[in-house]
Amino acid sequence: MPAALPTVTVQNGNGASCAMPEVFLSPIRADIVNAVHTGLAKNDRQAYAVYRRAGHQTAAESWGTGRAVSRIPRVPGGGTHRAGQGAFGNMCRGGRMFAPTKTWRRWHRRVNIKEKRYAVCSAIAASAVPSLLLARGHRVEGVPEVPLVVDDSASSIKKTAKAVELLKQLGAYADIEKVKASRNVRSGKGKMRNRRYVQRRGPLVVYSEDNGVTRAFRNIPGVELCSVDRLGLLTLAPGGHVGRFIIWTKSAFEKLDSIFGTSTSKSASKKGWKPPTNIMAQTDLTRLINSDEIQSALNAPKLGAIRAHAPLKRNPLKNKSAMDKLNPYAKVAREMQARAQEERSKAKAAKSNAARSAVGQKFYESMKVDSNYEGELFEDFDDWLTRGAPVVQQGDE
Amino acid sequence: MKYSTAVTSSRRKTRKAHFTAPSSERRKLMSAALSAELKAQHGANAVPIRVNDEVRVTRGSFKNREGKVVQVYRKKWVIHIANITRDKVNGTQIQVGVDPSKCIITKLHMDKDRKALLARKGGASGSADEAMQTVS
Repeated sequence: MPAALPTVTVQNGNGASCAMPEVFLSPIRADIVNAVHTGLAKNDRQAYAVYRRAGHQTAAESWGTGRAVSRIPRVPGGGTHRAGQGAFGNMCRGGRMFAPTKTWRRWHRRVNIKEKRYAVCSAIAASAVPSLLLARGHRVEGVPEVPLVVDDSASSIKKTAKAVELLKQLGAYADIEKVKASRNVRSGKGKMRNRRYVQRRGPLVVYSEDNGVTRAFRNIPGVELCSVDRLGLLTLAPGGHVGRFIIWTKSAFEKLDSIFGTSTSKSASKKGWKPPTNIMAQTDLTRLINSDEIQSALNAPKLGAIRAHAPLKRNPLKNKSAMDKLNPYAKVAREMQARAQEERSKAKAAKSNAARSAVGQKFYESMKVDSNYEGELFEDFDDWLTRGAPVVQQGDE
Repeated sequence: MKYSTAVTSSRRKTRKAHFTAPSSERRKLMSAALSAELKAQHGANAVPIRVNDEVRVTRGSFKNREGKVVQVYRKKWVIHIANITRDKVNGTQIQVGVDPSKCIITKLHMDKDRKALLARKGGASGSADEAMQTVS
C-alpha cells in the first residue's frame, strides 16, 4: 500500500492507470483544516432564543424597604398565590433567565476563501496517506491502494446490491461493517429531537457524473456521496480531522487537476488558484546540508585562522595573570609585598606577646599578695572549703 | 437519513400517524409477507392481509401453526386465525390475536380486487426479477 505514486491504478479498469493530480502534493496542514472547520461547522446553525417577554409578563414592583422582605420586584394584587411572589429576577420562580438568549447572536462565520481552499487541498492530500486514514479510524487494511480510484462504470450503478458488491470487491466493506457496529442510541436530549442514533462516517464516494450512483450508494450505512465539483471541507475532513477514506471514480479523479489547478496551470473554476506547495520540498535538513550539491558549493572550512570568539577582555587590576602579562615585574613586586607583610606581622606579634607576658606576670604577683587572707572569717571560710560538700548539706537542713 | 422533503421523518409525527391511523390505512399497515412460492408467482413481497387468506404463524408460542384468517381486527392491530384459540376460565373458547407481520400467507384468497392489486404490485407478467427491473 504505497502512499504517494506518480500514477494510480484504476480498480476494475483492466489495468488502466491515471496520473496523480497535483492537489495530492499539497502540504497537509492540520491546523488550517481545523481552524476552517470550526468556522464552517457553524454555518448550518439556526437561530434560537427564549421568548422575548418570558418572565416579564407581570406588573411586578418592589415593595421597597421596611417590610422585612427582599427588595425583589413582587407580583401585585391578591386573591391568588402568585400575588406577592418575587418576579423578573433570574433567581425567581417564573422569572426570566439570566441574560436571555437573542436571535441576533452571531451564528455564522465568514472564512477566508484562500484558507478554505487550502484546507480542502490539505484534506484531499491527507486522503492519500494510509496512516492518516487508519488514524481517523477507517478500515482500509483490505483496500489495494489509496487514493482508491474505480472505473467509471461505478457511476452508473443503479442498485444498492451492486454497490455493496463493488465495495466488497474493493475491500472497502470493512469500513461499512465498522459503521454498522458503531450505530448507537445518541446520548442526551438529541434523542427526542429526531437525532436518535449516532454512527461513524464511512467512505466518501466522489463521482463526476451521477448516472445512478447517489441512489445506489446512499442507503449504505456511513457512505456519503459528493460530486467532484462540490467538494467541501465538512465531508472531506469530518470533525476537522483529516484522512477521510475517499473512493473516486476515474473521471472524477482526472477532473481534480482542472478543478484545483496544477503548478503550471491555474484552476478552471477557482479564479487564480493553484494548489499550495511546500515551502521546503525536502524537510530532512541534515540530508540537505550533507548533499553533494550543497557541499560542493560551500567553501572549505578555514581551520585555525578564525577564532571562535574575540579574546576575553580581563581587568588587569583584578586578574593577576592579565596583570603579569602586561607588567612582568608585578609578580616580583607582589611576592616582595607579601614577604614584607609577613615580616611586619611577625614583628608585631613578637612585640605584643612580650607586652602581654609582662602584664601577666604583674597580675600574678598581685594575685599572690591578695590571697594571703587571715582572721576569724577566713578560718570559717577555710574550714568550709576543706570539709567540702557535707557542710553545705547541713546548712541546707 | 432523510431523503424526501415532502415526507416527515419526525418520530413524534410518524408515531402519531401510526397509532391514530384510520381503518383504511390500517389495512395497508396490517400486511403479511407472502410465502416463497407466492412471491415467485406474483412478484410481490407482501400484501395487506384479508379474511380467508391462509397463513402460517412464524413467531411466538403458535409458531408454525397454520390456518385460515377468520377476522382482521383492525382496531386491535391483530388477526384471528381459525384454530388458534384458548380457553377462558369459564370454559368458552376465544380467538388469540396474532400480529399479521408475524405471519406468512400460504394461500391467497382470490377475487377480482386481489387480482388487480397483485397485478399492480408485481406487474402483469408476474415473475419477481422482472418486477424488480421495472420498479428501478
